[in-house]
Amino acid sequence: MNEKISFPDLVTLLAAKLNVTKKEAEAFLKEFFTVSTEVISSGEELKINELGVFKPIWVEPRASVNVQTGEPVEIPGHYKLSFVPDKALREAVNAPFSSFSVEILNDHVSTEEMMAVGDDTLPDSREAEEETVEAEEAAPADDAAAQEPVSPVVEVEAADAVPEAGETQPQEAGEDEAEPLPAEALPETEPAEESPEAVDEVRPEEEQPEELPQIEPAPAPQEPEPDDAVGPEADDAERDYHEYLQKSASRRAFWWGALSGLGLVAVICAAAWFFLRDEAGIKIGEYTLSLSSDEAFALRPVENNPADTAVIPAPTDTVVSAGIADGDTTASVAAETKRVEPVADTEQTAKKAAPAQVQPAAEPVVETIRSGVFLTTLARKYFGHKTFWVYIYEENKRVIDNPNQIPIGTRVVIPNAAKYHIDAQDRHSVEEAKALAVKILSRYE
Amino acid sequence: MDHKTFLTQLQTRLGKDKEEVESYMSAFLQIMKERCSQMDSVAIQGFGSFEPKKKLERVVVNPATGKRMLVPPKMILSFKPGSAIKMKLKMLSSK
Repeated sequence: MNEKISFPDLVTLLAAKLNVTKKEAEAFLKEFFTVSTEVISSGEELKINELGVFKPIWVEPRASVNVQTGEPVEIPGHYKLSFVPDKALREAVNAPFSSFSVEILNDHVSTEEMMAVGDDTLPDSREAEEETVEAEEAAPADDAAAQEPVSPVVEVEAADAVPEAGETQPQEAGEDEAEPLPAEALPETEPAEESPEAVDEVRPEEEQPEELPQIEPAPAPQEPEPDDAVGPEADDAERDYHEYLQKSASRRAFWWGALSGLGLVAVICAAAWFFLRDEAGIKIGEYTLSLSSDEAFALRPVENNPADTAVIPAPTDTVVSAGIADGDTTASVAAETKRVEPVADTEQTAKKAAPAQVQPAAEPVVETIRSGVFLTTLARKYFGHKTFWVYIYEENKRVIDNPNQIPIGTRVVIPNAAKYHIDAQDRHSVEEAKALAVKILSRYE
Repeated sequence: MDHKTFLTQLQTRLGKDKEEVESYMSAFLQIMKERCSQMDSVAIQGFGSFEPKKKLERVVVNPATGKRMLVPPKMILSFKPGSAIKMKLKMLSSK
């Protein structure tokens, strides 16, 4: 602060900054200033980026008066050096005052009035002129002054907040009351689910008791209103109390609605889970909706083969065994592990059946296209590589118009691997299929 | 003389390569900036002194519109040429 930095100080600072010896720093600075002096002295303009422009300016000779004697004197023409700091440097120096901007003054405002109005700001800024430290101190003072009128507002807000807080408490209380009720409702429904076919019937039953509480609190707050109307002399406080009751009741009604909705969702989830656990998927027609991931993957070979390839007799056996297994497991509810074992068994038998059906079977294998089943997935399933879908397409050209858009329910015949020399291990065969795929797809673009 | 030619002149005088001179230059300018924004003045014997100065706020009148404007107080970096430069400029003037 207000230090005077001399040449040697500058040398030390530069040496410390660049980690060089003082000698080197001094050599640079000395050279820097001699060159600058030379350039400026020659009457040339010197521009140094980030520092500014030094420019000797020629001042014309002019007439003047010697103040002491009153004699007219002529000041001869001369050079004066102007220095315009670079923008970055100027802004860095002016940083403490950068927030100010030029202000247009209105015509009929005298400076005295302005001083009176701007009593706080103007003297402050003037002091700041003298010492920046004071300016820095003045700024917080101004802030504090500015905050004083704000504080009553804050108090008012706090006062407002108090009744709100009062309102939230009963609301929470309402929540507490409401929460146990759906919890009670759940156990009621779960026994009902033991007869799984009755789930659809259970839902309306569920909705009714839950909707009732919604209606019940609504009329309750309406009752006080007539009281207000009858007794107009009733205290403001009492009216407030009634309004408050009404509000809390409507809030409670909202929470009832929300909670009953949640309860309904929970019941549906529970029902779905219950079904899936017991029967390993909901059967809709010939498709099986299996939601639990393990079963979705584990059971696929079993379900796909028997359901779709009705021609082969071998897998039907597995279906029966699977059915028996399922029947066993449904009998013993807790024996989940037991249920897994038969499934694994059926899987194995299915796997044994799968190669059997592809290789020796002279009869063609028929698959049905459905959502999630594409030619590529079929190709991977039967031939071990998705690229071989082209051969399935070739085989079913009659039924398939566009291989990218096969209508669901289309029955496709899976060709014999030998017919098209399909071999997933053979790179040549895969490349051939890829080339064919490009050819086919180009037709549909 | 612009910045580039000034740098090349420095290079030839110091016998250093461009990068080195530039690094010195930027370090020096950074020191100047830091110091001047801290209200420190930098005085170099023979060359002159850089000094940040406070300017009062003032009212100016736009001659075109006749509107009065209050120009805020500000700090500016002033440079006062040293004796050596003054002498040389005087010599230049008298020529």
